[in-house]
Amino acid sequence: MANTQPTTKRPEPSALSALTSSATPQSAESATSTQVLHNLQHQHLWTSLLTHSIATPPPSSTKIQPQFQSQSQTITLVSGIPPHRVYTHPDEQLWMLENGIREDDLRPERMFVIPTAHGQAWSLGAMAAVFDELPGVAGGLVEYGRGEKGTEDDEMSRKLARYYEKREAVRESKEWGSERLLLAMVDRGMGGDGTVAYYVVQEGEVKPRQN
Amino acid sequence: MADADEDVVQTPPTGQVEVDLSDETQDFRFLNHLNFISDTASPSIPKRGEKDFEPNPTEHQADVLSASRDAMHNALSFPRLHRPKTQIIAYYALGGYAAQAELDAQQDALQVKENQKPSESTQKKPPTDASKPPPKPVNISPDACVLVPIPKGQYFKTMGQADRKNRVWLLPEEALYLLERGSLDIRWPSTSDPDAVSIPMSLQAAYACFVGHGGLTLERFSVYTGLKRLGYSFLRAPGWSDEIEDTEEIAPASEPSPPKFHGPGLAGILGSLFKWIHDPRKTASTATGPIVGFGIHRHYMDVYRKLAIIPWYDPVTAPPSKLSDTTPPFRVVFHIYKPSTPFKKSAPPAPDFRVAVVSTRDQTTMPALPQLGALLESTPLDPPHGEKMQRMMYMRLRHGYRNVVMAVVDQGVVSYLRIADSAFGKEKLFETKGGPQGNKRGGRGPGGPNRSKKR
Amino acid sequence: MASQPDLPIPISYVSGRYLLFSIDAVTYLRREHNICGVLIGTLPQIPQQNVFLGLPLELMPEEARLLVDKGVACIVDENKAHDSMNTLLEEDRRRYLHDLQAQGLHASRLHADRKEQQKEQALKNRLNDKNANPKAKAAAAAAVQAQTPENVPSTPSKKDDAVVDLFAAEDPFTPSKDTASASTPSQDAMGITPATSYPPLSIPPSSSHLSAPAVPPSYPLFAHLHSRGYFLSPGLRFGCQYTAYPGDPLRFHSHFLVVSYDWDENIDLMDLIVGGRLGTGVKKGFLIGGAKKTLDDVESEADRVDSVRTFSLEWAGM
Repeated sequence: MANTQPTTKRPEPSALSALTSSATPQSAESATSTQVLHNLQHQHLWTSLLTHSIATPPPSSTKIQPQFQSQSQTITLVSGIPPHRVYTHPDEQLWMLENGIREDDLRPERMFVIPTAHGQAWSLGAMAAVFDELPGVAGGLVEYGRGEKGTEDDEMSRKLARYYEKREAVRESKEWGSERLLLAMVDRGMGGDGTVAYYVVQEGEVKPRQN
Repeated sequence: MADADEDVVQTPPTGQVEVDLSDETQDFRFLNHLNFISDTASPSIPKRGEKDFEPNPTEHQADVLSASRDAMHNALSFPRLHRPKTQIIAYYALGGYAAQAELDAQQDALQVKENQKPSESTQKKPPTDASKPPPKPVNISPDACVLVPIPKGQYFKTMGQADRKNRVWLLPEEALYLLERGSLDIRWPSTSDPDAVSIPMSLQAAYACFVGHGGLTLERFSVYTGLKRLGYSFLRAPGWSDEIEDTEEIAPASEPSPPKFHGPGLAGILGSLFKWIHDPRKTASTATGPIVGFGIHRHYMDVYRKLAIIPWYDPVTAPPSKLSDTTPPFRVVFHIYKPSTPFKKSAPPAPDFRVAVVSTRDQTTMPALPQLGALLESTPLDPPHGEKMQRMMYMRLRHGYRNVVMAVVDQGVVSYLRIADSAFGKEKLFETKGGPQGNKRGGRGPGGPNRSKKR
Repeated sequence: MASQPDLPIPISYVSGRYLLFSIDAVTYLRREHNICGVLIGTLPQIPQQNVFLGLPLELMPEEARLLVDKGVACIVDENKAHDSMNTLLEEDRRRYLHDLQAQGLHASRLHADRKEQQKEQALKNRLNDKNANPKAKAAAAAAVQAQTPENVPSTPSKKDDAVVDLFAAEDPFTPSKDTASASTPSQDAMGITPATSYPPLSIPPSSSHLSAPAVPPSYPLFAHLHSRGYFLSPGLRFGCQYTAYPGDPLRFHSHFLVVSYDWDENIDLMDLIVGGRLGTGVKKGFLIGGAKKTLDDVESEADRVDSVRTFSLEWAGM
C-alpha cells in the first residue's frame, strides 16, 4: 500500500500563517494582535482597523513569578468599526425602545480590543492598566464608519440627536455602563484552530443583559 | 436551579428542565398557605414564584419584599412544641454510655442492698447480682451523648443504639437532627444528681454542645440533616475519625465481599506487552512499525486488538487501598441508605452511597489524583450489573466499577458529586457492531472521572 | 415586626463556624445590613423537605467580619458561654421552667381551640355540601386553589399571627380562658424547645468576645460589593466565590458570579472565558475584582476596600 502512494508533500501555509510570519513580529504578543486583527477584518468584517501600543506599568508587588517581572509591558490594542453594534447596555436598550430607535439607526462606532492568547500572563493589574490608558488612545479617534444614516429623515435625526445628548448626559453617571473593551482570546492549544473568543469587559459592576 | 434563567445551566440539551427548588432562596410567603398547627399529613410544597430582575423604586415592589420578609420571619419563629402524648424526653449525658454504666452499677448495687434488707433474715442468699461479672459490653459509640430513657416512636428504628436497659443512646448528629425538627425534648445540664432541676435544651445550646463533639463538623451535619430530611438513613463509616487505627476490615462482613481478582497489575501488563512485542512469530513492532504486522488478516477484530497497545488501568484488578491511604477530607465518613432500602440498625445492608464530606473553606483545591484514587479504591468493587447496564455502554461507563459521592459544602450550601471509576479500557468499541449502543444523553462528558449530580 | 435587637448582636462561634439563632437578629441584619447568610436548619413545621429551611443561619466569615467591623455584631464562643449552664442557680432554672410551662399551657389551649374550630368548620362544610349543588362546590374549591401567593395580602392573616406569635406577651387572638376551658377538658402543657439559650443564660460580657473573624483574600471584594448595596451569597453552585444580588435574594435574581483575584495574581485567561460563558448562559455577568493595595500598604482590611477595582465580563456574541 505504501508503495502506491506518492510521497506526501507539506501543505502550503495558510493565508493566516503566511500573514503572521511575514509580518515579522518582534514578540508573541504582536503575533496575537495580528491574528486578532485578521480575524476581525475577515471573519467579522470590521473596518478601519488600527493598532495601538500602550505601555502598562510594572506589577506593583513582587509576588509575581520572576519571568513576568519586566519593567513595563507593551500591549498592542486593536481597534476597528464593527458592522453592527456589539454591545448595548440594558438601560440604554430600554431607552432606545421607548424612543423608537433601533440599533441599526445608530452610527457604527469604533470599538477597542485587547488581543490575548491562551496561556499568556494576565492579571487584574494588567486589565486596570489597559482601562487607564484607554482614554488617551481613544481620545483622538472620534470618527465614525461608513454609512451614516438618518440624515435624510428629519424625525430620525431628531431622535438621534436626543439619543446622543442623553448618552453624553449619562457618561458621567455610568448609567449606561462605563468604558468597555472586547477581550479577544486566541486558542493556541495544540497549535490552535484559529478560533478567537470575544468577551465584553467593562469596568465596575455593570448589570448583565437579559437577552 | 430555581430561577428560570438559572435552569439553563443544568438543563441537558435534549432533556427536560429539572428544578431543584432547594437551590435557591425561596419566597417564604408560600408558607402562609400551610396550616401548621393542624396535623394534616405532609403538607405539599408550594411552587416557586416569580422574582424580579432588579430593584425599582415602586411601592409595589417594596410591599412584596416586605411581605416576603414578614412571611419568612413568621415561618422562622415557629416554635418547637412537644405534645404531651407524643413527647420524647432525652437527657444530655456528656460522659456517654461508659459514665452512665458506672452510675447504673452503683444504683443497682444500692437497690440490691435495699431489696435484700427485709428478707435478709429469712433468705440467706448471697448477693449474686452484685458479684456477677458484668455482662459483655454493649456496642455503643463513645461519641453517643444523649440518653433516651423511654424510646418510643418511629425514629429509633434507624437511629440510636440501645443499651442493656433498653434505653437508647444517640450520636450528636442524631440528637441534633431530632431536636431541630421538634421531635426530641432534650434536658440538661447533665448532672449526676437526679433531683436537680433540668431544663429543656435550646436549639442554640444543642449546636454549641453537639457540633464539634465526637468528630461532628457543621459540614458533616449539613449533609446528614439535608439527606435525613429527605428520608435517607445514615451510618457513620469507619473513616469518620481522622485518626484511624488501620485494621483489615475495610469492607465490613455484612457487605458482599468483593471478588478478589489478582490481576497482573501494571508490571504484569507491561510484561505481557513486552512479550507480545518480542513474539518472534509476529512481524509487528511498535518501535519501528508496522504495528499490525504483515500477513493475512482475516478479521478486523484481530487488527484492532493488535492496535490496542496502550496499557490501561483496570479497576477490577487494582489492589484495594487501605483506609489509611486516604487523606481527609477525601475519605468516606457516611454510609447512606435510600428511603426504599430496607434498613435494620442491627444488621445494616451494604450502603447505597458512600459519602465523603468536603468543606470549601478548609479545602480550596480539587483532590489530587492519588487522593481521589485512594478514595475510590477504599470503596468495595461495585461493577455495573443488570440487563440495562449490559445493553447500554454509556450507562456502564457512567456507573463505573467503584463509586463514591463527594458532598462539597460551601457555607451551608451542599453540592453532591458522584465520582465513578470508569473502565474505558474494558469497553472494546471495535467489538460492538454498528457503533456504541446506549443513551447518548446519558454519556455526558466521557473522559476522566464521570461526574453527575446525585438525585 | 420591625424590631430592633440590642446591639451588638452576638454571633455564635461554634466549631469554627458563625451561626445566628435569634430570628430578630436574622430579620434585622437582612433588613438593615443586607446580610442574608444561609439558613441551614430544619423547619419544625415542615421537616421533610429542603426547599424551605429554618434557623440557625450560617454566616460566611466575611459576613461576620463585616458586621463586627461595623460594630453591629460581636463573636461569642458559644460552647464556652454554655458552660455557665452548669453554674446556673437552681432558683433561676425553676423560674425559667415555670415560664416555659406557662407558654406550653398557652400553646396547648391554642391548639385545642384550633381543633375545635376545625371540627366546627368541617361540620358546617358537611351541612353545606348536603344543600349546595356540586357545581358551586367545585367552583369554590377552584377559587381556593387559585389563590396564588401573589394574591395573598401583604400582611399575614390573623390566623398566622396567632400561630407564630405564640410567645408574644399579649395575643389578641387568644379566646378567653373560659371558653377554652369549657370546650376542652383539662390540658397538659406542651413541651417547648426554645430557639436560643438567652434566657436563661445572660448575655456574655464584652470582655469574653472573640476577636474579629479571619477572612479569605477575597474579603476586600466582598466588602466592596456589599458597600455598593449588593447582597452576597456563597457561590459554589455556579463555581464562583460569591453570587451577587442587586436586592434581597428573596425577591431578586442574582446579577453576578463573582471571583476575586489578587492584584498581580496570574489569571488564566481560560478561567475568564469559562466564567464569562457560564455567566452569559444563565443571564448573569461574570465579575472579577480585587484590591490594588496589599495588607502591607494599609492599616486595616477596611482601607483596602477603597482600592478595589472590578470588571464585568459578558460574552460578546461574536
